[in-house]
Amino acid sequence: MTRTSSAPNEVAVGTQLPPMTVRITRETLVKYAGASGDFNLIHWSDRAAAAAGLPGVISHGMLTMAEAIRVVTAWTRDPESVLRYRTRFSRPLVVPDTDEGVQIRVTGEVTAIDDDVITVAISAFERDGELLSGAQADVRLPH
Amino acid sequence: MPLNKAYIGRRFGPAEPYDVSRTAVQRFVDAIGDDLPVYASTAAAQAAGYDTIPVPPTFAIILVSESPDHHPIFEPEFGMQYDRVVHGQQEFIHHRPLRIGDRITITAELTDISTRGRNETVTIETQLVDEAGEPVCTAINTLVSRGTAPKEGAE
Repeated sequence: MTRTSSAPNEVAVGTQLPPMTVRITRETLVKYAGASGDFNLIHWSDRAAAAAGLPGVISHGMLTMAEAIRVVTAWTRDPESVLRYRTRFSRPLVVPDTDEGVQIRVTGEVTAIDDDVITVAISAFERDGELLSGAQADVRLPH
Repeated sequence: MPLNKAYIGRRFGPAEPYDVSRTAVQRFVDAIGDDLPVYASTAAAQAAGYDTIPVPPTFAIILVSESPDHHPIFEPEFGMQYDRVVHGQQEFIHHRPLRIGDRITITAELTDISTRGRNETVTIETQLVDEAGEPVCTAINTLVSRGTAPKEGAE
């Protein structure tokens, strides 16, 4: 068995899911605001972010959470495989108004197996550090 | 101003049900930039064995924050200042997958307000239930109200 598995039916504790990188720009934040209905000003207004004492416009924590679980669903190829998903948001993600925005590297590692349900610990790392803490998903494996 | 602890145990909802639409799901998928083939079209989803396009695991957050006018955390008496609030934690427990075509009834309970240093943490548990009365998703979120706890010794 390889330690990085692209086949969900060949997992063991310690198996690494194929990592992925995700880019987030101001455009992403605006689109996510519209799609989610979260129009909090700190996610698009520099003035509002500064007034709230933030170093800049920050991403929706829920956007980071949505991007991070893709490491699982891209692997199982089944969004409905996620039975449970939780995280703490450890620090804000500042998204500058540039073409590049920010890049997040998402990884996942199998930490437990219980019959056809596995637990995956998820990490979402941006240049300045980890964005999530204690992120994990319970995932049903395909039969 | 500290948050109003009388709100612990307060239940709210349901408001009008939320109808899960393909349009809303695809808009969400587009926003997060997910290129998983089963999201692309109903035909692609059906070819992969789904009845409709599947719903992303965190889409349920839209239902959790639906109808904020009815949400007690927005009542002035609760004392929450929106610009001081950050999202602390989020959990989704999917009892069954949320699906396009679902008509979902949303109820919630403010289960806890706790203090850590000068921050206060509010926990809200939201239940999504389908038309048959069956549970679909339980969402637990904590919001951190920065700097609103009383200074030590001030209480």
